[in-house]
Amino acid sequence: MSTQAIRLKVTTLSNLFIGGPPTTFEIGGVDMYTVTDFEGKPYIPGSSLKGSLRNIVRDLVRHHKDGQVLKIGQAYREYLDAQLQEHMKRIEQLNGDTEKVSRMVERYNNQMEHATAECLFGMEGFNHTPKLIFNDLKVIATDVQRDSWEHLFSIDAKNKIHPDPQGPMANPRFYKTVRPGVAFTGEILLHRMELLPVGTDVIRSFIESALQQFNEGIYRLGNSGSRGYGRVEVAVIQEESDPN
Amino acid sequence: MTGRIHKYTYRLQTLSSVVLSPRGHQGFYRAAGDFTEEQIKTMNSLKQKDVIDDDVNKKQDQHRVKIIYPFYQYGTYERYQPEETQYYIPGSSIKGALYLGNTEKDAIRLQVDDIRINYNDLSLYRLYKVQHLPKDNESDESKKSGEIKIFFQNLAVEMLDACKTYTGEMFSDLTLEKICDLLEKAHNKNQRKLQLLIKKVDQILEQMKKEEDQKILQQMQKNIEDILLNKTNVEDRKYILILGGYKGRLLAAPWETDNMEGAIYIDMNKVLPHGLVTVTLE
Repeated sequence: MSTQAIRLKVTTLSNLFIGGPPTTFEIGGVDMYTVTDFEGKPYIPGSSLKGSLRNIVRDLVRHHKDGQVLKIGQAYREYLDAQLQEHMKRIEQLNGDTEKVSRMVERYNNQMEHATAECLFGMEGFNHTPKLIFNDLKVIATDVQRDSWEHLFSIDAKNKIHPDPQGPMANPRFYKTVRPGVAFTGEILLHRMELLPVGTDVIRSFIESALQQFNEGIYRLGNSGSRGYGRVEVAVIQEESDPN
Repeated sequence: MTGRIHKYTYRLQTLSSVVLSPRGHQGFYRAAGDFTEEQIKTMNSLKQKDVIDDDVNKKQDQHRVKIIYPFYQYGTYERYQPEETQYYIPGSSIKGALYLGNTEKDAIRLQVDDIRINYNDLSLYRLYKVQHLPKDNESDESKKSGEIKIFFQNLAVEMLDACKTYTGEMFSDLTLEKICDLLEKAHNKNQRKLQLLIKKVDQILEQMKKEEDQKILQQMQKNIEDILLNKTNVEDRKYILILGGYKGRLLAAPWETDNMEGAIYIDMNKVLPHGLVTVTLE
């Protein structure tokens, strides 16, 4: 078994805010912080990239009814069917519980019916399937001499005005965000993809083209994308193979 | 957003200076060494040339500035250094101007990007405000106390100059027709707000102490009327928006009543309220 990886570089083009855990609140001060690691450096959680990329793939599935999207959906159906047949063979040998068997068959049939390229992000109730694994993206340190990472952040204020007849009601919030121009790097692992009856190169090419969608400006990372946050440039920087 | 997303490009032109500043949180203080008096002097700043028209007053004015509220900027800066700073118009400000205080729910389906601003298009301005109006709204001679004066003597605000043009992008699953409709609604509400301001100025004109200030207010009324008549044409997809702060309560939201009180701030160079822009959908 081998795990290939897509290595990528993500550069912020606008402020980026990925909601972190709650911290102490100071009246008039920053009340929303983007996530940081134990050193105070910003990072992009793998779950955040996964969520946004899944959204892209869902839209590709919805709007593109041909090519790689269909091939990958079909590959997952065939994979699930093969898995089911294998389980059935084993169950026959073990004389398994009929009710449990019929529940399993129903679960497989249901998943096969709904299998699309979105299965690349995992299937609920199915373990050890071929899927993408997202690592956190780490900031690329441009100046290692710095003892503070504060130069990587913006402090941004958003003020919402409500037209109350007694007078406009303002609701200011202060966000600590990653500023534009900050680059991150990390990997998406193509885990157990050789189990799919479609070449790993097809999966790789599909994911790389999905990642390109970030560069069109429509899809964003993190929160408040509709208010200008989270616009990024994504570049696939190298391919590597990591025999495991 | 549920359907296919379209990209819309628009041209934004400032008609008056625009105040987009996170204010207190990112203010620069001379006492803390964030900027120098010399810096103010050499910056082609404090551009209220129509008001501060002699060298003595100009010099005094530079001396008075102790706080600067900068324009929205990416990153954090220890000192006031405009040439090193990445400035921008927040996408949220444009979206907010279309959202119209929660009245236009379709605006939630807009994704509006920030617009990067060249620091050369920004200047430091003083805030001018109609002040000391008589409280009971009477206009007899003894109560003519209204004046146009600098609001906060110690403060200079970094504003985007008038007559600057930028291009912006927004994304939405709404059709072009729906986007135009949204902009037109904002345009109509802003027209009404500006008409309310004209009416409000009528009410206070006689309360002004100096004839000179009355003339400024009348000029502002005329300039607003010119804009309403000539500067925009929704058929050409050109709409008025009012952006940013220091525009007074009258221009802050679409009010149900015609009798609204509110501060009047004036861009003394253009003799207009701050924040007037046109947005032309391309």
